[in-house]
Amino acid sequence: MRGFALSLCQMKSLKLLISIVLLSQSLVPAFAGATGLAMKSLTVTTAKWSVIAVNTSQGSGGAPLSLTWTVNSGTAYSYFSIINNGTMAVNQFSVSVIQTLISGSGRPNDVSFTLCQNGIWNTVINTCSGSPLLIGNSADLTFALTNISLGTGSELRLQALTKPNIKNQYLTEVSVSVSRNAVRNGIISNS
Amino acid sequence: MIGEKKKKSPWRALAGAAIVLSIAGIAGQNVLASLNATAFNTVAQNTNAGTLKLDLANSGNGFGQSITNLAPGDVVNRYVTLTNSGTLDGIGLSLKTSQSGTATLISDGVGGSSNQALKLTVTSCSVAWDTSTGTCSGTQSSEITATTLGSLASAINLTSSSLNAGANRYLQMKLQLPNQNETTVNGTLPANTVQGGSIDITYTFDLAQRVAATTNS
Repeated sequence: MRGFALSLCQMKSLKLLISIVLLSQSLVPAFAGATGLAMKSLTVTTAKWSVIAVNTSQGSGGAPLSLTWTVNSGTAYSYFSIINNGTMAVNQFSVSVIQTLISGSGRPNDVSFTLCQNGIWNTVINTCSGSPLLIGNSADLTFALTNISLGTGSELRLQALTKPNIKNQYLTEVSVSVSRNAVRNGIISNS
Repeated sequence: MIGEKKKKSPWRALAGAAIVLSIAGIAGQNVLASLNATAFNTVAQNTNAGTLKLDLANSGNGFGQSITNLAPGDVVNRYVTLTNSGTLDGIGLSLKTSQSGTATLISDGVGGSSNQALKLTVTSCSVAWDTSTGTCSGTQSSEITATTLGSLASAINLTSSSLNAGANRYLQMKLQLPNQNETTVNGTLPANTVQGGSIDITYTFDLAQRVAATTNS
């Protein structure tokens, strides 16, 4: 009888265990009902607005364009391009100029910057086949070129010119910056 | 020899046992041969399980064509249609996205900067959208308000979260890059820029079956 009583206890435990398992099994379907999934992917890329100043020896941007002048007499010229290497048309940009004396005395010569509109520069005789437009001077430190339309990959050819008769050697660094305002406003598209 | 009990033959016990077994056998046969009645349905009961199927179709370009050269302030509306093509009504319609690529297009303020990531707004129309003009000639409803893409990693229920069997849900998926100022110097993009970025977004809609029901009929 004693052995039978123990068996009954074990049976009760077993029944309890089975009840718990069955109860949990009965709850699962309530949480794991059928679901329908639908998915698709979309790639989004964003634009870039960027303008760089380059010449034949410095062609990739990423740093100010450096023009080194040694002016013993007469006028010196240098030519460079401003290129839109972004993915949006630019309607304005600003140019910052830093002058650093390398040797000699006095302050570095002023440098003026001229754009050749509707033409090209003849770098041998230093003339513009179109309309030359003075856009700024190093004395201004910063100047802006506005109301332009510089498309992606387009470039402007500029002439840098120093005043004569001061004997010194100096460096002119030209930085070009373009802000969000220089590109088109946001647009809404439906498709 | 007188008084000695006569020894019983073992055959007597065997015969007695045989008689008992015979009686029991006869009685048993009487029980097995009692009357039985059965009933069954002559036409088998047919039971079909319902189905739940959610289809996602492009309407116009939908998600089938990449969005390129997005500038701050730009809004691109794409259109998709969800259809519950199963036989069960659905509830708990939700959307989540997963994305990989440029972090600044996914989350705001990356690395302590002030960048603003892409935002998604979902709006439904009771009839199909005009995908070329973005107009809804029926009733327009906000389903998900403008939400930064990274916040959609966890599913968000649509406002109209039920979708009956056979029903369509016409959705406008509005993706916007908030207007923000950045200046590029000498071709070098600012830190944590939104410019020149690229992300791949996977949209996942999830529909659950209606609540299980007990019917009597």
